Amino acid sequence: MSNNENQQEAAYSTRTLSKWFAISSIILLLVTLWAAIQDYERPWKAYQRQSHKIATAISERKLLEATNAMNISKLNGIESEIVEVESKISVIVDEIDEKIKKLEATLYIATKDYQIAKGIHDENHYWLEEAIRKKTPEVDEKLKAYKAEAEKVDRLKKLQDDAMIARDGALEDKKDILSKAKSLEDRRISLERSRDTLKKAIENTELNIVNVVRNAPILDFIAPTVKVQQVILHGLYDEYFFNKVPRVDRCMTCHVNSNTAGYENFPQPFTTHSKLHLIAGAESPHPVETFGCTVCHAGVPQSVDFTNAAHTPKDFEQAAEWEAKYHYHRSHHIKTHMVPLKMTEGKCIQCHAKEVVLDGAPTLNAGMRIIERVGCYGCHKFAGHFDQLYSEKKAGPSLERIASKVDENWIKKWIWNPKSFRPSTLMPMFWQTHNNSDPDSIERGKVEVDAIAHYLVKNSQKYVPLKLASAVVGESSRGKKLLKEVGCLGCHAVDDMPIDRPTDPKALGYLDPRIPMFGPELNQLGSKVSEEWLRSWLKQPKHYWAGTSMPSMKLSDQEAADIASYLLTKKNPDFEAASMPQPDPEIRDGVILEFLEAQMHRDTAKVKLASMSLDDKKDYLGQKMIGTYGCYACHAILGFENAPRIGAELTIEGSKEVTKFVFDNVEIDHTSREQWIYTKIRTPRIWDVGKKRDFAAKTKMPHFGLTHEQTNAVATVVVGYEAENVDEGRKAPVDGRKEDIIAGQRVVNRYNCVGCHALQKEGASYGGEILAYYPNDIIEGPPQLYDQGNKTQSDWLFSYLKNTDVMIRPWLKIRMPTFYMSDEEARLITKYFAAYDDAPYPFNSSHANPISAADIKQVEGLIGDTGCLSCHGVLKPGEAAEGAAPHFKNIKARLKGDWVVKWMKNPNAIMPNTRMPGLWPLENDEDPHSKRLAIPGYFNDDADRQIEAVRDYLFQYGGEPTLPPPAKTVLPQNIGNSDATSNEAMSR
Amino acid sequence: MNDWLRDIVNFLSNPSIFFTGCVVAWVLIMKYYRIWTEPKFIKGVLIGSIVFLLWALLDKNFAKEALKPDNVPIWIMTYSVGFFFWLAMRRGYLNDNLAAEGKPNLEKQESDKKVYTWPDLVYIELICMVMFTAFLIVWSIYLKAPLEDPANSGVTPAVAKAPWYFLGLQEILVYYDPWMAGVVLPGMIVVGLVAMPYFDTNPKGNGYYTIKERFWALWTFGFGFIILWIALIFLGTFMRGPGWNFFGPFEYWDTHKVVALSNINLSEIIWVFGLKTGLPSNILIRESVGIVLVLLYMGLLPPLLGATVLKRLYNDMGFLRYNLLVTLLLVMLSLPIKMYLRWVFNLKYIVSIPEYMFNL
Repeated sequence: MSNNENQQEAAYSTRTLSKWFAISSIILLLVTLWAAIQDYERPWKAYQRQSHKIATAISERKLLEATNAMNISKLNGIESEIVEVESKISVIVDEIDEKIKKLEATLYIATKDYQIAKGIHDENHYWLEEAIRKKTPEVDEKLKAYKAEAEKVDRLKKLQDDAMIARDGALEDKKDILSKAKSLEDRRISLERSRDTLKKAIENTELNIVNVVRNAPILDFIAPTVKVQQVILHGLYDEYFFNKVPRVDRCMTCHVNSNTAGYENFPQPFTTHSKLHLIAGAESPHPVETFGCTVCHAGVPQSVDFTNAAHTPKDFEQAAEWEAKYHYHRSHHIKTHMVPLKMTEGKCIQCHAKEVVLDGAPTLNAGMRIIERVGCYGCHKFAGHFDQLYSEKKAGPSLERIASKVDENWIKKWIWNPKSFRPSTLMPMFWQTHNNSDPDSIERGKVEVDAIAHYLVKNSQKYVPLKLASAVVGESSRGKKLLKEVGCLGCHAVDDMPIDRPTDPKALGYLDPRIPMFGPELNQLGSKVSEEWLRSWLKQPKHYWAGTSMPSMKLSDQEAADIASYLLTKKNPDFEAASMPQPDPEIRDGVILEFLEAQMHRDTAKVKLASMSLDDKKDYLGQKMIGTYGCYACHAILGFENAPRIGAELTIEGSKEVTKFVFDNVEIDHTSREQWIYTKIRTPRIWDVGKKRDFAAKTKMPHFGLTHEQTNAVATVVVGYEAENVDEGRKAPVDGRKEDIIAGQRVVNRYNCVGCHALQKEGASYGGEILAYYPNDIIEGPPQLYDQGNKTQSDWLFSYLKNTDVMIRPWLKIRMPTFYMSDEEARLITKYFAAYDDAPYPFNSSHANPISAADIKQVEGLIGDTGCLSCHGVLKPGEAAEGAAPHFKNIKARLKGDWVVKWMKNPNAIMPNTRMPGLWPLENDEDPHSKRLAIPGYFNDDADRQIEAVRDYLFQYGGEPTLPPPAKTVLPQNIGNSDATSNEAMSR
Repeated sequence: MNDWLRDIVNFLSNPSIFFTGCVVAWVLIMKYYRIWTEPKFIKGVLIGSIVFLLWALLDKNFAKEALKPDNVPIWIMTYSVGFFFWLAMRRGYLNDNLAAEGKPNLEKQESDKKVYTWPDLVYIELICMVMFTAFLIVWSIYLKAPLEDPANSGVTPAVAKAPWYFLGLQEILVYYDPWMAGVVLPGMIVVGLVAMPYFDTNPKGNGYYTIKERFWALWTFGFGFIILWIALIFLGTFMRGPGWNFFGPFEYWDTHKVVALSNINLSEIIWVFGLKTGLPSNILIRESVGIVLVLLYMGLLPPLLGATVLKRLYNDMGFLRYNLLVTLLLVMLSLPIKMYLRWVFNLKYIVSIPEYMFNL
């Protein structure tokens, strides 16, 4: 055996093999290390480390520390304040409770005294009347007793009132103190959040040996500083397999500084949130610790991988960049990709569904206004605001009396191509669109248009326009001037009066360019309506259509005629020249047969068709087509009063599975719900392009011709409607004040109050679109309603809204129209202003103190000295001098006393454009606590005393006010009555 | 030119043509092995296939499927099976020649030389193991596990494919009732493979490659493995797309592709199309023709073949072993038969008794 071994050599030398073994072992070792590094090196760790480096860079660190120090000092301040308040609070509350107890006792006694006295008084009353009736001699005696008791009753009543006011005051005080403690507590929580965020940032980012060890491979399972960061969001859910679990957001693992100020100029993912004061910031209303990120941005909340987190690029360029950088692709399985940034605002709807205007969300607001004006809600069901709007109003005009306004031929040309008549119209294109521009469809379209026009005219009520004074001749040049003066431009646009709107959203006269004007442009009326009709409409729009938002502008017959003749000069010759070709009767029969066959056997259908006259055919087809296209969604049409919504429900469109959208051949990202929605809104019928579909299968949604920006705004809203994944408790509370604001905004929207009046919120004004026409003389435009809730008395405002026939600003040419508001609407607006400006409602306490004869003398001297009356004494429009102002005598019925004081102190602070001078300026403008300069010679040169005395004087001796006359709650009788000819009730 | 070529390739990849081509190729391969086992021939095939692939990869639809990380094993399988099959055939051919010259075969020549277990076997194995482990780690790092994106309970993927090694079975599902394709046929494959040593007691070919000595055994097994298993995996991987619809290698995998599926059962062909009567209500009468055909195929063919063509085999193996083997072979053959019946007659099932979930 051993011999054999010696003889035979190994095929390979052990040395060589050992070399190979060594080499391969080293390779294996290296490869294993490589694997370990691959496992340790997650992309998010790189981001965190880089972010830590940024934070350690000296300047940033200093900033962090400074901010934190500031926070801590603020926090200490608050904490000591809380301690102080808490120590006091129990004492104070006890005191107040004691006081309340005593006051209650006083009130009880006063009430009892009063009730007893009142009882005796009533008895006296009875005996007095008995004595008078029986003519007994005790009449005088009884009368005396009666009068004595009456005085006592009055006195006791006053005592009771005082006791009640004192008690209520004490209760208010208690509420104030408790709410102050509560707000301090809230502030402490948010400051603590700030402090913790910064503390963590500072501690974790330090580059010291401890942190290095903590983050070392393998050891990093204990307590690393570089780790997955997450927040658990209770009340916000993710849906997994029919099960809802609280959402866990890990976005901050890479977006490390999203909630820390100071990183605004760093690139993603290190940057600070762009709206830190509103979103994500520890002291914002939506701190990241409780709201997370995905509630607005969507995406896959628990993923820390770039692609799996479902980022959404803003454009193809960025997508390509990401693909190169992160191997990014759009996954087909992910339910919720991130919402494109330009549509993120839509997600506010999840918690703010009922709100009409949302501060800080301009795109969402623009989208909502477009939906309201274009009328998407007529066909599609939305939740919240739009659902209510659906029950209130259709987006387009009523067609119930259309035959008296335009003729059948005009209707045909108009619906065939509305934009050829009025380029800016909101009426969409139903024909000649992406899926029906081929010759066959065009022929079919003519048949349809013909039948619809026929139906509309046939189903139109008889209407006789208002007759104006017959001798009136309109003059177009006067009309043009009037049109601008009375305020038509708040809702309408006219080419002759072009306008440069400011581009700054905070400027007066700003109108978001995405939002279409409230009313139609007035550049083609000459090719549309008759003079008779137009005069009547201008004079009293509700005569023709009771549901219109167009108010009465209080025009005289002459004025109505002038404006009408101006508007009628504006024509669209191309449209007039165009004619609608005759439809082919054979095609009509074919289309009718299509509809009949859906209901009956083919043979029966043919028999039925043969039995129809031309009129019958058009009727039948017209009705079918109106039903098919859903004309009634925006227009009131006789015969379609109870027709249901025709479009798909959109209440959860924003979370509909992407796989349930049919993308057909359209070349957009087939994983993007948002792109589908955008494309659908922009080009609703594009899906049929390149498809062979018969009429029934084709998309019927019309083409609105929205711009890119408009489409994006509308898509933003639609994307926001998601399936419920938020607890009720997490939604924005709609409490009393909020509810008032929302309800009021609906009415404001309905009448477009903000077309003329600017409102103010946190320093920025909104609305007042017409003010763009008054760039240099804003005071000539409609008044800005800043601080209106604190300014006017609720009763007065209510009466004024019900009847605007009272002159407040004699110099104005622009008119406050009559809207014929219902009591409910006027009440809602009144409440709205109170809630909007955080004013008490209804406010009934006294506005001023009684003023003594001596004081009156001083005030009269003061008023004389300062010349108040040169502006405030003018009453009639004719007398409107340079610098006229509202008359003094209306103050006591209209304004609130506290506001008058505030106003006199600094009118510019309330209304920056006012002509009212500040007569009592501060010694130092910058310092609100500095001394107020008095007008020398009165009230010991005490400015505050002077102001109050003037106020008291004005509230007592302003003369008899011109109150709005009893409200015209009922519309003039002939409204809605087609045979009415009387125009008496129409006069001013 | 390119488009034209692509169209031709797409056309030829249609399952029926592809499969027929494979079968024909198999016949030719087994007939003309003397030619193609020449090294220059296989070199030519290798170069040709690489040139074809390079050209094909210029097409984005082809590249998309061909370069998926999932499909790396398929390419490895395709080339390694091809290479080792060629190697075996080559050595078999050489051995046959040596045997004809009366010389010892290659394996015999090699096995005369003795080598040490250590280091020549164990050490080299160890080194190979280490290197291969390193390779697997690099592969797993470089081509990340081709996991799909996080699943969504609401979305069914458009292609639900079996693991690659089962794609041949999934292809059978097109032609057979799931119960047959999923349970009976795989079961018989396993049983057949297990039983193989008991059927095949022929000692020839043990320890060396040969073609001549075991031509039909090689033919049959190769047909079952390379054509019915490997080729169908290839087909299932690269040419079955969304909806398990067929797509040519250069076609885009369109999820919305619609394919008319108007398959009919044998009973319908006979009663409705042939006799113009409705289907009989009695199941047995309705399916009688199919049942008779199946019984004839499975019951009559073995004795008939045993008495004629396979007489020698019958004599060698005896009644039981012969019948078991032929049954297994017939079952294997039934697959291509069924495939062709589908392609030619749109035949769905020969015996269709859905009432009892029994379909053949």
